[in-house]
Amino acid sequence: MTGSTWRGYVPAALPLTLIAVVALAAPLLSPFSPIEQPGPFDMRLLAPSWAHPFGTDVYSRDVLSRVLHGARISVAVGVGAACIAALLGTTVGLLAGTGPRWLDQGLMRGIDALLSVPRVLMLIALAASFGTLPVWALIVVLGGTGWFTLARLVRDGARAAAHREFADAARALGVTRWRFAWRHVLPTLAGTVMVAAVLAVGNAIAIEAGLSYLGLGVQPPTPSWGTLIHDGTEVIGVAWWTSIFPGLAIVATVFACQSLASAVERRIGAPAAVAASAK
Amino acid sequence: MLRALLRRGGQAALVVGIVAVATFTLIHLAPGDPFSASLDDPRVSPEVRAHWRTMYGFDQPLPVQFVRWTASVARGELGYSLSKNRPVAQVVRATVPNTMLLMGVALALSFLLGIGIALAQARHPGGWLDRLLGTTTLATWALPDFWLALVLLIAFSYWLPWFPAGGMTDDLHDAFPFWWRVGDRLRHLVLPAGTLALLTAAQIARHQRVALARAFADGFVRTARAKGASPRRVLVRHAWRAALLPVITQLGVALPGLLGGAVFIESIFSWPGMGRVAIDAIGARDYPLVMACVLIGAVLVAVGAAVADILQQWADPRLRRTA
Repeated sequence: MTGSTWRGYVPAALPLTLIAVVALAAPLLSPFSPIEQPGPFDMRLLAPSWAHPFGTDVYSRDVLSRVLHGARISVAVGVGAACIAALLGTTVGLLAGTGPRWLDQGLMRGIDALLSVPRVLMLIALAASFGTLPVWALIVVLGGTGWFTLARLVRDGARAAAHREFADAARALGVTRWRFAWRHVLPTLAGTVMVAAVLAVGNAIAIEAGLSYLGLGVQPPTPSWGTLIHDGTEVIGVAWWTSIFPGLAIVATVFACQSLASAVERRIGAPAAVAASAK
Repeated sequence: MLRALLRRGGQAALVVGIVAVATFTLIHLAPGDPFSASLDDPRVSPEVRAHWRTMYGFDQPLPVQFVRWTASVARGELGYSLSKNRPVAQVVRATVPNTMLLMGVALALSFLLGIGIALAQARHPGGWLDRLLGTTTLATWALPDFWLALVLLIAFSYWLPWFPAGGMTDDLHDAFPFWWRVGDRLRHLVLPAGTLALLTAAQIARHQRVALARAFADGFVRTARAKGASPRRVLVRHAWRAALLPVITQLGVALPGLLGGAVFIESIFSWPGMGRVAIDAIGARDYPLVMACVLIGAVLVAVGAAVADILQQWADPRLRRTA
């Protein structure tokens, strides 16, 4: 990649980088402890002020500090789940796209089935079945249910690539099927995979929040953006700030992911990826 | 056409079958069963629980249970809900129409809104309206469904008490004259259906915008322009007609998302639908009810996807020959 094309991503990648830095530096940036409950009762549900820009929650905790610390959990969950999803989706997609017909048909019908159950219901079932999940398990589960559309995209891309000239050339040279998949087909799909992975980060963050909102995700007192919204809903009528600010943090992060993904998409052209990524 | 229909139907049935087997295995493998909640109840002895398990056949091997369940579903019998203490069919009859109403309204609104936005954008590609709406739809797409529902709830039900906070009808609904009842229903639909519609509309608008851009790059649009067709006619009669196809596919793609969104929307707006029932059923390990919810969802999605495929073939003659 030359310097000029690399620089093109900077404005699009800036917001996401900023969020990642905030997540890493959360302990340094937070004015208060995210978990300790200060003072007696007069600090509860304070409206936003200079001392507490995002107000305080039912337990007198500073919402800003909790949102900053929540970024660590939420971003970790998002990035971890996206990596797993990208790996699984690419592997399965390549297998189906370059493998024999029966394998392709079998995998694709399986993916059709997986796609026809709402992901949220699937996750609720998993989380409810195994009690409450620790954060690492949540990452695995989110990644494990997030790769279906990508697998389909990679598979379609691989099938299309098999008809192009370089594919004929590779076959004429007697390249093995596996090498053909990884060294010849995969590079043509790198853009698709990148775009899908960036989108998956935002998606996983939003879905983690949804699960936590139902009480099935990250468990209190660990702050994630979803648990913050969950805690806030009980008092939303009197203290809107407790659930609005963490929600805005999610929106900002997901939006940053989507902007980056469309920037990548415009530059390297991975047309179907953004379009096909349903929630 | 008939052969294509049959093939598509067969595929859809296969998918529903896979979903049923997978869900059945998963929920039975998970720890706990419908009677484990009574562990905390000192009045229920282990013997009674064991008796219940035998009575409902939960002591049989899994494949036997699955065959029994499949056979009873084939007879049109969905089983007995152990947490609601009613036949599953009754629960389903009471809730599925409500979810269908919510989703149907949301789907119709979102297609109208989404396509309208994309057409407005495509009138002047790259213009300020195009960019403004493009950013707006992208931002809307970034909104988590349950959070948007909460925001709309406090904004339009609490701060500005325009719409009811939840439920499907007013307490006095049955006493209203007919048109009042219709209005009452609509008032209760605005927030939940609006939330779902906004989110889905953003998705559809983005698809439609991309499809329109592709159509504009095509030769036939240039031909139409060269023949002196007005910009409006080129947009609506030539470009849009071709660009409608990918959006029809969205009918199938958007359904699972809508169903998943309905889970949150229904619990936030206390809408008595299937999504809430599904959450309760999963929590209570109510196997027959979970299976019924998943089965209905999978059938809905499969039918939606098949209808989308058939609509596409109907709309685009080129697809018929290859299918």
